[in-house]
Amino acid sequence: MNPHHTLARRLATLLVSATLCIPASAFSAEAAGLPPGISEFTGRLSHQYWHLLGPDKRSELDRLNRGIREVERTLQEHPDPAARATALERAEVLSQHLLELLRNCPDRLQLELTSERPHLDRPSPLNLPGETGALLLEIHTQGEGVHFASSVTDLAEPQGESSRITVDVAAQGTTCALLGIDHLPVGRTTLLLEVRRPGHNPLRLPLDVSTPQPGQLRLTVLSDDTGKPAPAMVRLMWRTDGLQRRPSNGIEFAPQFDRQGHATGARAANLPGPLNSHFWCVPGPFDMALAPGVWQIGVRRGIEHEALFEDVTITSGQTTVKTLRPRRWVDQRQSGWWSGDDHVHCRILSDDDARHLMAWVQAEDIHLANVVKMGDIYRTYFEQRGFGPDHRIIDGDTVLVPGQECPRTHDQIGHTLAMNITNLVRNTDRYYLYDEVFDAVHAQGGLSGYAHINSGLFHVHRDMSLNLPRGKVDFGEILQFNHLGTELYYQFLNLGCKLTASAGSDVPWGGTIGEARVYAWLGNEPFSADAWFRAFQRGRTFTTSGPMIEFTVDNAYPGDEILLEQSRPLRVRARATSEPSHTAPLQLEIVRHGEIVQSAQSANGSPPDVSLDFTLNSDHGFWIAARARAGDGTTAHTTPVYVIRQGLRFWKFAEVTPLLAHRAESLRQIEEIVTEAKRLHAEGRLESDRYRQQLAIQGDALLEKVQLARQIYQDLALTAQKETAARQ
Amino acid sequence: VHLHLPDLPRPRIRPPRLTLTLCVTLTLILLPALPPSTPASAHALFTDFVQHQLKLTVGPDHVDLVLDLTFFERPSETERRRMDTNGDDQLQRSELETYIRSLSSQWQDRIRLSVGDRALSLIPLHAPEVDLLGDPRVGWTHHRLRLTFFCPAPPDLGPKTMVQVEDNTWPEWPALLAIDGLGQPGYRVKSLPLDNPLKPALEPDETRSVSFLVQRTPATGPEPTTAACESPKP
Repeated sequence: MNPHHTLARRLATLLVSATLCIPASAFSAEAAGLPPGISEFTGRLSHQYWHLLGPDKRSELDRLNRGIREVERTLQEHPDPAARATALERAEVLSQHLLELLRNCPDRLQLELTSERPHLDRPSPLNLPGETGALLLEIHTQGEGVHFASSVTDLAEPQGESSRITVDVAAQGTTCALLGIDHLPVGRTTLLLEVRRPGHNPLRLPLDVSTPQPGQLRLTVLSDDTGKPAPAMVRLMWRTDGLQRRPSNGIEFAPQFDRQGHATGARAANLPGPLNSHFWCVPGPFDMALAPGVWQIGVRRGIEHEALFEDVTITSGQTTVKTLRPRRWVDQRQSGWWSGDDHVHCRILSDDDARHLMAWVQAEDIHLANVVKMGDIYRTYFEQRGFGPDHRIIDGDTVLVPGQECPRTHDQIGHTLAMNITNLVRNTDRYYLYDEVFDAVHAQGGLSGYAHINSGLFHVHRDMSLNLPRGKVDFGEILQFNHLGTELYYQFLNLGCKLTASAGSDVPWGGTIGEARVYAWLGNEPFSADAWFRAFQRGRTFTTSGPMIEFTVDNAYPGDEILLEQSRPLRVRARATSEPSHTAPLQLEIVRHGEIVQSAQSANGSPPDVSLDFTLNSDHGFWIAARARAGDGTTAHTTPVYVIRQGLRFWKFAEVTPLLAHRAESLRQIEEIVTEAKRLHAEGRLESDRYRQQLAIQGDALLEKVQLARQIYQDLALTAQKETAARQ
Repeated sequence: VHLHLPDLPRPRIRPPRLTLTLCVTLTLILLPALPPSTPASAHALFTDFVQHQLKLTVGPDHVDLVLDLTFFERPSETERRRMDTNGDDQLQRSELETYIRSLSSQWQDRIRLSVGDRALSLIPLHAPEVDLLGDPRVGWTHHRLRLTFFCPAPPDLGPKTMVQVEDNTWPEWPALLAIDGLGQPGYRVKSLPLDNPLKPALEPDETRSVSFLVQRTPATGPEPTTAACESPKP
């Protein structure tokens, strides 16, 4: 008996009987004609175990999988007999095609259960590609019908010593089974194949498989600046199973994350395309055993470098030496811009902790990381050894500077950040009085800011309404998770409140350090943490997740003021560039009071470099900034240049009334949550909610701040009245 | 313990009548003493988010959609508890397989794709993939789930065609959205900026939508040569 022939005949019988016998109302694809389990089988085969049929069959398998799934969908959804008949015809063709491919698989096993004594036709051992692999079995029993089964067994999981894998076989007919196996040992393994069949006792058969000796990969990533080995973000993916592996020296950051956030060393950047896949930070060259086959090596060194992906072939028993040097497409340092990340959470309690984090920061080509101890009203996280210059960790032109993200209230008034502090500022008895923290930070020579204003998370607009008009705050995060959010930012700028644009990754919730970053312009001054903070304090910054921006108004840089006694033309110059291969076209916009006054786009596809140079009358003053968006969705935004006419605010005068109404609403909300907290506290209902209990207790002091802010907004309304005449 | 998804199978546990009565009585007694629910946003923390990263790829034959879901702490713990069918707080491969199968019924009505005004039927390309990120415990961590879909490319898919994707998966958790539009050779697809990538948990009848614009197809001519893309090194 030719089993191939029999199988095809059984399949044809099944399909024909389905066509004739199944009512159109039974919208189950299996009931209506596709062999049971075929789509899951084909999905796994095409996606994970295509290597069973060889690389030349991969695209064919993909088409087949799509076709089977389209037919399945048609049979599930369409009651129309004509459509179903067409789908069934196609099902037959596709099923035959699949069987033909399986039949030609050189490693197919055939198990005959038609006689009393089971017979496995395959000589042992069967060669599998490495630590993951799959068995393809065709199991024949009495009767008609074709069934498909698929499963995965992890040999690392059973307690004790075990090498059992199971396969569920249909009661009758032929079962094509795809049995994935994870964590196969190197060399020869005797699997215990347990065949489970309805109405029969489980049958156990020994099956020898063999995996090849691994090869060795010796990988070195070089700095494009020095040509010497450097830390890098590395991805190792075995093409055979599509899964990434941890490089042997990949740093596991979980212990430094206090079990918070994405608590692993496998980091997927919040950036588009392949950068969103998992990479590990490797501090230097490594050498590790890998299964033979083709491996994709991905290397990233931050957004000033082109990411590099390359396939290498690992050969059993041989060492493959690979040296990769990601090309720096731009060197921002050359033009005086130095990168920072204002929001990195990571414990540093030992030199090892410091070394690990330093490697990550250098791998992402960041020069200053604000490593923030995080607090809430209950406790703190991400412990640091200390604060201030003595506790900075410096390696060449990379500095880790301990800072804080505290106070943070989630349902009340937002999260704050502080940089360059000498002591943690934290008093939970006055937790809601953020201005006291800002003042204390400033008294230490530090910088105060708000986190997450790009998304408006945690009602941050409320405290912004209290303290921005009082000049208590230096910066705000307008870019995070590759989202540039300017609604709140523009509202406050339009009221004439200065605020430096900043950005940070918020790892471990964010993907990787520097995915959102802030550049500070030091000009010709040598880099140091102090120089960076001075530049940042002047507002000489732009934020980015990809594009780079240059922006001047006359000779003023972002953060600068241009003071004018009378209106005159101003020369506005801006240029945006972006990583060459993936990010065109690039859109550059100049925004004044939040509205675009000029824009330009790089030509289709190339070059990703666009400039604007024009004059603009200063009129009654304004804030003006540049922003850019690349074709891949990455963005950049500068801090504004503030053009100020003597005696006038740089605000968006025409919209002062609605802008003040926004702020009045924010203040009203603060009053409302304080009133509610006080009521609940008086009723004794906040014993387990320290946030609102303290809001009730500290509420009167907070309401005093509300009154201060309200007075400022009333004064601004009067100022607007006074300016009316001057502006006519 | 379980997600509040109406069409997910949930264990039916019938408490003994006495226990039920006791529960109701205790609840009625204790209710006034319990703190009221958190005002404004019960799901405000990042720890409550599910990150939805949607990648749309347009080609001559198919439109592919990959949805990478990263479950932050609370939703991850909730999902892991669902996976942990034997309740030992350790997730095994067989439990993941069962979990993956349990998901198959829930995404079909929650992910929709339309080209222009026409809804297209999205088909799963293969089984979902779960990545526990090296931590097989049930607890306060993250994990990833990848769902992959496709549909045949409509014949009228040309330049300036808008593609809209509605992603209402895991509606009970707030979402952090990111989108990425890609084209096979000859195609260029742009993801349209999101007003705000942070979306609250969905109310009934609410949806989450993102949009893509097909900018170029082979019919509009070849891409400019990439040589001109080279940016001079400073």
